[in-house]
Amino acid sequence: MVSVELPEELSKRSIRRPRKGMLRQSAARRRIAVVLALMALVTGAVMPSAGADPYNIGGSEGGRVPDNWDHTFCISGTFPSSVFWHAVYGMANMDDQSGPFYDTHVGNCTSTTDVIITYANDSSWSAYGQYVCDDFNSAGECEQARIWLNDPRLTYDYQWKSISCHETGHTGGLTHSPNSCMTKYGYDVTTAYWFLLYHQDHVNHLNCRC
Amino acid sequence: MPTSSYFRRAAIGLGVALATAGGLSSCQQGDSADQSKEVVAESDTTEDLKQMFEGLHASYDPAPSPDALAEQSDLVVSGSVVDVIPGRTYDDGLSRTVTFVVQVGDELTAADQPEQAYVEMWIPGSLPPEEVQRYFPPDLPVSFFLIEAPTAEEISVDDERAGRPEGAPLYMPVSPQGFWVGAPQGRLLMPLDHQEFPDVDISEVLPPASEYPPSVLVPGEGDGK
Repeated sequence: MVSVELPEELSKRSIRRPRKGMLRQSAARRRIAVVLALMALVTGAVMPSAGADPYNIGGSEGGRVPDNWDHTFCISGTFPSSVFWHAVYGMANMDDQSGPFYDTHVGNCTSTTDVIITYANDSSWSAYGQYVCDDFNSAGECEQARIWLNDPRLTYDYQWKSISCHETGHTGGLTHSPNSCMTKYGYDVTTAYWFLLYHQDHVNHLNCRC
Repeated sequence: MPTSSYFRRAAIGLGVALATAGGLSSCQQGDSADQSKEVVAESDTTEDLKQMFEGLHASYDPAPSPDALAEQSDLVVSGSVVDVIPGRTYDDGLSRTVTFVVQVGDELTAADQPEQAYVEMWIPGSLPPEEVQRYFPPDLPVSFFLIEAPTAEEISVDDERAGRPEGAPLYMPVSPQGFWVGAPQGRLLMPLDHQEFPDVDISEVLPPASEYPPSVLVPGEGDGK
């Protein structure tokens, strides 16, 4: 059911008796408002909303949709103990923010592990982190993903957490989108803001894997 | 209480709205039909190449100019991908890279021009090398901004010497900006960042260019996404 909020002047009756000119003006305004409201209602209902949802999953700017909500993860390489919890923040956050996604740490990385969190220590690599889906199933869903977190490029704890949130978001299929940790490049390059959470619309997509 | 004239006006409004929506909708359908025709007409191996990299993303600091990116790189080359061979494997045995063998046509930064450069790449879905090779016909121009790939001392790999002849250095793109493909019809692809730019020659994103062409968005100077 779509509800349209009418302008105040349409929803309230005027107590004061209006002058003639004012009456004509307000009637015209009322007609315009009704037409606009109906247009909004109709166009919203029948027109395709191409590109209207930047928080979608899949596509060229998104990760591959995962095969299920069960996100088992393992650690590849040795993260310094000072950053370990920042590195796995993304898994815990996805578990917390979404409904059905749940993270489970497994000791050994095997072919059935969903996400491999990999330590990178490459100061010349101009990347904070990376995501790749290593294994697709016949439906094109991701069976196993690997993410990297590149230590020399991540100075502060909020950078670790933000990139962990970003790359883990791709393992949930999330696409690059503003005002969240899924912002392209990993942080907002115009404001230098690093986000730690998903947008509510991301969460809705995570919850249905759609 | 609404009057009958109110309902009449509302009905007229609804009619106008439906007509407008229908008109706009059919315009949009027309556009998308044209677009799909265009896509089909331009369909070639580079379209598949673009799709091949879906499922790979890096978050990174974009360089503001080709010059700046070259400064971050150990080697900048142009040429073609003449072979794709099996690369190194992580010691957990779960991820295998491939190596692009690049026949160097023009080397832009180092004093000694190598004949071939070996570039380690991650391909989503762990596609086998022969499958990847299909998307790189010999006449497809490519350019790479490269750094030396991490050694076995820096990452845990099973087969350190894989992916190139003995003694040859192994490279990797410095960032998603470090791999460009010149596609037919004057298009330029940036496969690792999933972007395509019309009417840009590959030479425009290479040194000594001190800035990217206007159509190649430099983040922070207009993108802001």
